[in-house]
Amino acid sequence: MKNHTSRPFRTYLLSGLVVTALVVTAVYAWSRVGLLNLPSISSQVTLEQAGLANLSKMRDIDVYIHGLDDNARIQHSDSATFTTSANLMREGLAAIRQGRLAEGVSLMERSVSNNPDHLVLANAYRMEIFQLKRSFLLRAKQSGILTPEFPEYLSGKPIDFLQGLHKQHKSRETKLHLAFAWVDHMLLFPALEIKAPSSVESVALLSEIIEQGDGQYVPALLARGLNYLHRPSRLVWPESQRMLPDAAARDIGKCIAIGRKLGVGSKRLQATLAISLGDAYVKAGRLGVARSWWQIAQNISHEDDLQSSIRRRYGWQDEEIVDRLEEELDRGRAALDQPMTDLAMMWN
Amino acid sequence: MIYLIRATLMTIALAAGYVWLQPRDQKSQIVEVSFVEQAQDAGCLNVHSMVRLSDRFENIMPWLSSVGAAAAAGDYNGDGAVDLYVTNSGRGDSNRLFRNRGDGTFEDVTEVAGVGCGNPEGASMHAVWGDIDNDGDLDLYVVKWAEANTLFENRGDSTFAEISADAGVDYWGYGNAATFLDYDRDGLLDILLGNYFAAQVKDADTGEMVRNNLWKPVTTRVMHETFTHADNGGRNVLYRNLGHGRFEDVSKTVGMTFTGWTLSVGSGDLNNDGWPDLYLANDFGPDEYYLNTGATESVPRFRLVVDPQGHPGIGDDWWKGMNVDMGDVNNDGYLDIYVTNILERNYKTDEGNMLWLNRVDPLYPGGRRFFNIAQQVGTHDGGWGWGGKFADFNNDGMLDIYTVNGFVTGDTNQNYWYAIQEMVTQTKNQTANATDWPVMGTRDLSGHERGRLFMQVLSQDTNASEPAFVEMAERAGIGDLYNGRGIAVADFNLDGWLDMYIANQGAPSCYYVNRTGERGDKIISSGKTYVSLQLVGRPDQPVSVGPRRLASTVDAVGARVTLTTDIRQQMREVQGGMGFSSQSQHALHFGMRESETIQSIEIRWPSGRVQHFEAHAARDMLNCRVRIVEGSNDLTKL
Repeated sequence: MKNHTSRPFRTYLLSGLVVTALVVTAVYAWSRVGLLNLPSISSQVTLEQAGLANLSKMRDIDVYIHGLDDNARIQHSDSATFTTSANLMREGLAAIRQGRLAEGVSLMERSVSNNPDHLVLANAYRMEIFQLKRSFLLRAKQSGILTPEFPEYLSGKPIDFLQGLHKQHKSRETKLHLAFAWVDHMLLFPALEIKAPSSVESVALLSEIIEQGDGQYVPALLARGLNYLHRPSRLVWPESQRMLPDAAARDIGKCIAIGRKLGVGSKRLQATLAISLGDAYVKAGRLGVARSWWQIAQNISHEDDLQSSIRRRYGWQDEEIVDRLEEELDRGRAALDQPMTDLAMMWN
Repeated sequence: MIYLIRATLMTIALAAGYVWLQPRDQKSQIVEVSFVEQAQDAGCLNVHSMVRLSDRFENIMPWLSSVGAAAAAGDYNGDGAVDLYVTNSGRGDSNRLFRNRGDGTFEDVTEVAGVGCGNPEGASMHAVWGDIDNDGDLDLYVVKWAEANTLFENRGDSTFAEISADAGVDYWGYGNAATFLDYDRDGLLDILLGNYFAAQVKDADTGEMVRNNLWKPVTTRVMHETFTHADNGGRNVLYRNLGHGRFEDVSKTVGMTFTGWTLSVGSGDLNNDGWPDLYLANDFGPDEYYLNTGATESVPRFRLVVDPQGHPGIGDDWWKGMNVDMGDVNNDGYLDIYVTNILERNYKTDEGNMLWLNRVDPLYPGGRRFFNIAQQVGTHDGGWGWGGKFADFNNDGMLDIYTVNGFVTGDTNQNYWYAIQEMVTQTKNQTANATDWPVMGTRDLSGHERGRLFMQVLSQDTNASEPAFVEMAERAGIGDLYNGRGIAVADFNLDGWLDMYIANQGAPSCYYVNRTGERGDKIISSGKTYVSLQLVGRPDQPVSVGPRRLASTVDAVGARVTLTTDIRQQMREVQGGMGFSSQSQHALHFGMRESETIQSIEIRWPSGRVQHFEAHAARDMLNCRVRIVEGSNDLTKL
């Protein structure tokens, strides 16, 4: 029997099917990814602008100052001033481990003063002060002291010290240190009446960085986004702190977009950010997008703790999702062995 | 034939399925609850005397004299039994203080106590108890029309001293509502005063602003400008307690400037941030919902909430808010709100009382969004509503609602509804001049109504997230047809069941003694039990929170207790007087089934201190009235 179907017709039919499949796929992809709303990032953005340059070197310095590897050395390319600063920090941390607390704090502050813009040094200082204060508060609580007063070497630290540093050396980095110090304060004192004003201080500083020419600076964007995300939705903020419902999603989304553009960040960091972005969309009332980001996170990293964190989120019903999320965030803030303000996650 | 059999079987199967699946009518549920009216026998009967204004308002005198019957419950002499203060509004008529003898019977001690007032120039409208000086005894604030409000300091020997002017709270105006709260958590009770008419009006002759004295009026343009968005009422006042018996008016500073026609004020932590928020029920305009900014600002203010659509308040209301009460009606840990309104089926079918369920929504101010579920859960039809209170009347662990109603009782053959609706439509809502109103005479306006007792029952729909109610007033023995106003709920006779005292407008009061636990002379085991907690704060032991020092007041207003059993959590907050012309006992009452097992009791004090009582200690409080002092684990059984 003769086949009446002509060759061109079959070609058209096949082409039509392919085009239709492509369109369907595109529509499906757009519905899943296009709605995810990542902002577009200029191709001109640099690692330095984003604050993401030399991450591996930062990791090496972090290892060195903490004395985690006896063979670790500062690279010869580093200036003598920086080498001195790094050694001061290393000595300070060692002194604290040996119980010479006041001396250790003093050495750390000299280190940070010598190199005020260095994220690794300032981060090490903040984290060490954080743990010292935490231990002190824990001991005071165990002793039944209701209004503990910190010893002089911890009193007002690190905020007072970093405020002074920023006055002497105004840079986005010193401002960032101070903003993070306010968040440290929130983590140590979880009462709303401390947490909320600290968040106001922190966000004000971070907004200054972002709005005064450093709109691509990932550490500031991430800190502000997480600040917004962790603000309990039940609180009433001052007029000047009123924010868009998707403020957290905008900042965290921009961090992810910059990271993708520059191709930086560990799988763990990418997955953590994707989870946070999903969380931020919950607060913006866009539950579908939120779940899509959690799914993306699930596909990026298969580490157990992240996977179980995502599975917990999948279990939340729509009507309880905000309450459950805020409980999850509360638990995250309460994990003080590795506080969320530890910038080491950037370079590790 | 076979088809006929098949069709018949199918019909039977369908009918059976329908019957099987159809949710049972909530009304078919029987709730064990019973009251007996005993005002006369118990010695607390008061026949409320009504206010009478200038003859220039004669045409609507029944309307204007329709409020003033209030009842406030408080243990003023610290003997553990809740006493009663009730108002009278007629010229020269004294308010009355009834001392509870300890068994739910009373004696009138007004004269000895020196709290009669007597209305020499104006009219008493409301009263609330609160310990303004933290000396451990309750003081009394009486709210009036056209007479300075009166603050009585309790001397501690069952007598009172009038300190209004020295304290700076002698506001002259037209108050109808007040509550005590500690809005800045400094351990000192503040006062929120809700006013109705404006305190000043323009003199028709001179054009000057003068006192608006409704007994000696300079104008008859004293009424509300519209029925839906009037803002020519009295300004509300927030008095901040400075300590040492002094208060200051901070209304403007905290952001309260609206001049609506306020009938009821309520305070409670609606968004669980630890700071008391406000809900004001306004007549002839939108209600006001304010969130306290204390958690984020060092000097707390109130932010008037406007929803994302730009509407004031918590949702569409019907501009006739009469009452506000707060309680966690669905046991989800958040306070819900009951607002009374007007429903007259023959004339207005689209209004009614509102039960605002508090639900999470991060896009709304304070992260909470309120849904009016009154109609679907059966608490909507309260008639012409006034006072309304949440309380667990049958100790089943679920909050019920009692609401009173009735406006003006007159000749039912002559109804004022038609006249007023005609006025509203034909005068295009221009209602400010009282002389423009049609004559009321002896006409009836939603009189002869019976109070509504909405008993909460287990929902037949197991998936329902909302509570369910059945109306039980008549079956429970509540049969009066007076025009009810204020409701004081308390365990007056100390038997573990909540009783009610109702102040009726221009009529005898009703004292409904709860007999749910009895049959005849016998006390029966109804499978229910209770815990009653009287909290005592320690303002002398503030808690440092950053640069602030937070403290509780002695009467612990704003303290929150969560009682956890094996099947649910119940939450109650200590109120400083809430509900139209109403104040209930300070003690927190939790009912529960005997089959429930208490697991813990948690107290969150306004100071920020959190106190836990684990299972053993908590169970020790069963069937008891217990006093708990802040910071101490020692319990005192009363």
